[in-house]
Amino acid sequence: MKRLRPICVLFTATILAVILASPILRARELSAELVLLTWSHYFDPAVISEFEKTYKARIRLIHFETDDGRDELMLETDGRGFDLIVANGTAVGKYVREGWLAPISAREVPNRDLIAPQWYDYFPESGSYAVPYTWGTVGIAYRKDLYPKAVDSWAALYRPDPALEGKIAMIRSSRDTVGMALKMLGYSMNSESVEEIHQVAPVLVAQRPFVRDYSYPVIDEQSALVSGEIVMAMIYSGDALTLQQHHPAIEFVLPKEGTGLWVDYLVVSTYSREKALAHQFLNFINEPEVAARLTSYVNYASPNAAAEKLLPEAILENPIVYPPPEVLLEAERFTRLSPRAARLRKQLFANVAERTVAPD
Amino acid sequence: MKLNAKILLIILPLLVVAIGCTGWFAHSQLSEASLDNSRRQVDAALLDLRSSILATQSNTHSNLDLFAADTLLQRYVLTDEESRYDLLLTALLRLLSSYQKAYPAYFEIRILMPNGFEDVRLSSLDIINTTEYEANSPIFERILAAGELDSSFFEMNPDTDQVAFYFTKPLLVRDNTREAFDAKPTLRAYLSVAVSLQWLQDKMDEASTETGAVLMLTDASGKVFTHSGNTDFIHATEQLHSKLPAAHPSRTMLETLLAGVPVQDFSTINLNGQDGYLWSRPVAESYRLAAWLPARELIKRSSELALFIMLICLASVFVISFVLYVQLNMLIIRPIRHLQRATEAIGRGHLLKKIHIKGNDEVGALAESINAMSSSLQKSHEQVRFLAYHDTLTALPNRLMFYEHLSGAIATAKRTGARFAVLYLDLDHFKRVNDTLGHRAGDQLLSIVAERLAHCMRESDFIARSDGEENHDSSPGILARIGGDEFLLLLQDIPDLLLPGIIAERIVDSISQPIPVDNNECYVSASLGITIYPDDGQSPDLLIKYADIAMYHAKGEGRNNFQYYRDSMNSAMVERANMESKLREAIRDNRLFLLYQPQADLRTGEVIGVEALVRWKDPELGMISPSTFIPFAEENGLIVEIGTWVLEQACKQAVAWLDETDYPIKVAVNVSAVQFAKGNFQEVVRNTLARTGLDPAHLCLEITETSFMEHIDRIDVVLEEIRELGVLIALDDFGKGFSSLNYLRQFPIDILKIDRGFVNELSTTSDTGAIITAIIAMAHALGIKVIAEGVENTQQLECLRERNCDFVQGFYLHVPQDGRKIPPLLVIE
Repeated sequence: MKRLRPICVLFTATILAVILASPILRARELSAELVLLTWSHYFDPAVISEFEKTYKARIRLIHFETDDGRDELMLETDGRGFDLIVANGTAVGKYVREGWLAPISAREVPNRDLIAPQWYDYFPESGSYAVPYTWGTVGIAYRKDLYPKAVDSWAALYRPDPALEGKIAMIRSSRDTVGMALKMLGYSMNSESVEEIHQVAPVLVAQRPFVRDYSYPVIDEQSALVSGEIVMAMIYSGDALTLQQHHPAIEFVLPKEGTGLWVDYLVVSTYSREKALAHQFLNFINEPEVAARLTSYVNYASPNAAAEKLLPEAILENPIVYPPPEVLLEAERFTRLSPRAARLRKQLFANVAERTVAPD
Repeated sequence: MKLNAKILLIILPLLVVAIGCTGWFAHSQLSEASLDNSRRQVDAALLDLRSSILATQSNTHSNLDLFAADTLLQRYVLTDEESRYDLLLTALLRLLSSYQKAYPAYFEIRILMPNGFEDVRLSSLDIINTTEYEANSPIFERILAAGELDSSFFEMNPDTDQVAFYFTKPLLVRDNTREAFDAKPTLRAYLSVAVSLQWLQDKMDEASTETGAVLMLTDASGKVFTHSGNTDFIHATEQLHSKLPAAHPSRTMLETLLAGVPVQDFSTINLNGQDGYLWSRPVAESYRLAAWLPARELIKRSSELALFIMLICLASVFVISFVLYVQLNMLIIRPIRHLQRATEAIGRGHLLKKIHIKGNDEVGALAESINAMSSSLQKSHEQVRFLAYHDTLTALPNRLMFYEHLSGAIATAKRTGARFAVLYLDLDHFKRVNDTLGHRAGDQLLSIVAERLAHCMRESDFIARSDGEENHDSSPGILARIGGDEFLLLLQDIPDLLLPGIIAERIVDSISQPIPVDNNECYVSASLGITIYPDDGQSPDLLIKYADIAMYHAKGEGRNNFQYYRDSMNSAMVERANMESKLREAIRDNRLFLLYQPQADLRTGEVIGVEALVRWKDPELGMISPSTFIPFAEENGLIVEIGTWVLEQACKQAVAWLDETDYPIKVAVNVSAVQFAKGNFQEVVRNTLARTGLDPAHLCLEITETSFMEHIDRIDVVLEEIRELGVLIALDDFGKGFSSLNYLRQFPIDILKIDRGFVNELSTTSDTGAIITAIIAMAHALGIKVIAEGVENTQQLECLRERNCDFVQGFYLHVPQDGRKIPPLLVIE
């Protein structure tokens, strides 16, 4: 027995140590994870891994399909469960109002100062709660080979050629879909005029038979645009460029009526328990070199002025990523709408997009 | 018209009437049933609609309860506008959309604020509603009226202009974050669902098609929400509602109408002059389901039914008619046609044809009767045939049958080259048997003769007697009776031409045997003529005719013998026939003339009279001897005419002479036995005398002994009458035949005329002289004068004179001469 005692003690101590240590180990792991709610294909995986290696942390990506979809997700969880969120300019204000976002200062994210101040001016709340990530436009992507006509107007999408029946994809977003229709009709995409918005209704109703899906196209080789099931789609500029890499016949057009200029921000959740790590992530991706890599990957322009200088000519000169100044001057910025105006658009859009076939 | 058409014409109207009555009865019954059925159907349809509406109502209310319990909705109504629209609205729309997907009939889902603001609206219609404030809409008024209670009502949807079933649930939610747990839930909003009534419309249309009724959903005021079809009735009531001012009395017409309808039954109502039935059933508190069934709809159905029944009746009539026609044909018409054909066949003489119709009905009986009739006809036909072909007395075949057999035999012989003989048999003196013994005895005799003839036929000969079977080919011979005493025999297969002669001889022998008749023994003989086919003739007529001729020859040969026919016989017959026609011609054309041979008194030498002698001079044949044509005329009866003519001429001549000379001359006229046979001879004489005016005393009638014998039974009466007239009677040719002296005593004779045969022999034979002496002596003894004729020489004259003969006549004294040459002779010396 005596001979056995030291062995027993050692054995017991080892087991105890393991048992006691495991929660600590697990807690360490948990605290090192960042949950990022984002568009798909919106971050270069290399950058993510680099961050994970550098900061011994893990980043879990949760994807949303549309801005409205993200709002719903946020609503369901009441803003909980995410550390970092990619939010468009109009959403930042809404989320702040709901109390879902934590303020961000330059002290916590020093590289925030590398971003041109104009990007903070667009949306009032963005100055204190958000870090601009990318900006872009919305336009029309179409298959040149399957649709030989020239496309230069939103009418090509909203009042399509009969050949396009069931071959169009529209973004499931009242802002984009109703907004661009307003632009086609010659109104501001941010119009709050009930009368103007009501003029959109028949356009959308008439367009419906041509729409295969009110959903955002997938941006890889599986895309319906690549396969040709969809010939024309409303799309954000960078994704069109990404898709071009999968199919060279995909053309992107910014219609003559003008486009909407959007900005995506990264915000930190009020409920995040890894705010420091989140700030480190925000700082990391705004390192000029990293920001330039991300832009090269997602094909969306970076608001990071320092990163711009590092970008290759091919991207800087690409009008899809960096539209010419005259286009940018013409382009409208999405602004936050009054609740009633938003209600009207959403209801209008839902009655078209969520439509059940009416019993005759 | 044919029989089946007639029968059908009788049955068809009855059938039509019967089936028509049945059809009418069925129609009235079925119409009644159909009316009841229609009413029940309408009632059932109403009940069905009612339960469907109630079910919809209860289901939708339950669903609204469920929807209202959703946390998103609850949160939505509790959230302020900004957050609500920014964040919750899209999610809520998605939720409502999922409801709508599950219940497509909920074509409009709304959330209405208590102030009438339409907060959320999800519609499956293409029409985008532009109205945001609903506070003044009738629907919202109804919602408000319900207060905090669930409500359901029918109301017009302003977007579709169609009635929808509206369900509203007030959302009474307590804000747990701000309010106490026991606080009363506040009315935050209304959840409203519009249910499409398409299903109700479909059901109504279906029920309407089924029942013919107009179905409608109305409110208590009679306002029609939805209805089946687009009928005048609905139009009328709708127009009343929409166009007339509220106070207009007609506006309440439907209401009044519906009010009059008992809850569980229907009313019979006249609407705009149209009769019909109106039902009304309450449903969902203040609504009614009503049905209007116009009577004309029922009549339409009834007339459809009538048409259907009529078609069935017509079809029945056709089918039954067809079956009747076929059955009639099978049962009556066909048998009748069969019978008709059979009777036609019987009519044509196919008597043995049997009708094969079975069955115990009248037609079968008729067929049996016709069969019986036809067989009895067959029997009598056979009888008639037998009678037609047989002699009734002897049952032997008759001439007709013989003729047929003969024809058959000729036809057979033509093929086979055989010979056969025809025997013509005539009984001699049969007439005498009949006359003396009576017809019954004659018949008996004929029967026996027939039997003997039959016996005499060759053994191998078959005698067709009474079986009546015609069997030309196999019958070897035939015996037939063809007249009173005439028989014909056909002898087949004669190897030897002598054979018929042998048989004929046997027959002659057999017949001449005594025949026992009525305990007497009769004697008759037979004469036969034989012809041979094909030597003598090749037609039945010729064979029979030549056999007849041969038979006459046999008679001419003294009877009781037979003769084979020879061609010469025929030429004699032809000659006779020729002569007959010439003689008739001569009589007609006066070619006959009279010569007169004077008769002289032997003692004085004075002419005491003349004998009128008839002469015939034919332009072709020249003079024809009286010995030739007188017997011929006697045979064929022309002698009567000739005799009468001679008598008249002679009388006229005598009158002429008497007038001319005043000499008492007598004229003697020969009378043939045939003339006596006529029966009225004395009349002829009397009339002739009267007509010519001759004194009967100057007329003498010369009658031969043979004539006396043949008419012995009545001659005396005739002669007596003639003598009473004063006419003299002379017995002519005395000594030629029997020379019965008995006659002299028996009959009233004035003169006896000795035959020239005696006179001829007078010079050579002394016996003759003795006989003449005796005759004269005896005649004189009886007071009868005697005249001798044929005196040709002196010697004869002297002999007669010696024997005291009274008168003489002959060439030696006077030849016969023309009447004009007579008067000079009449000189009294």
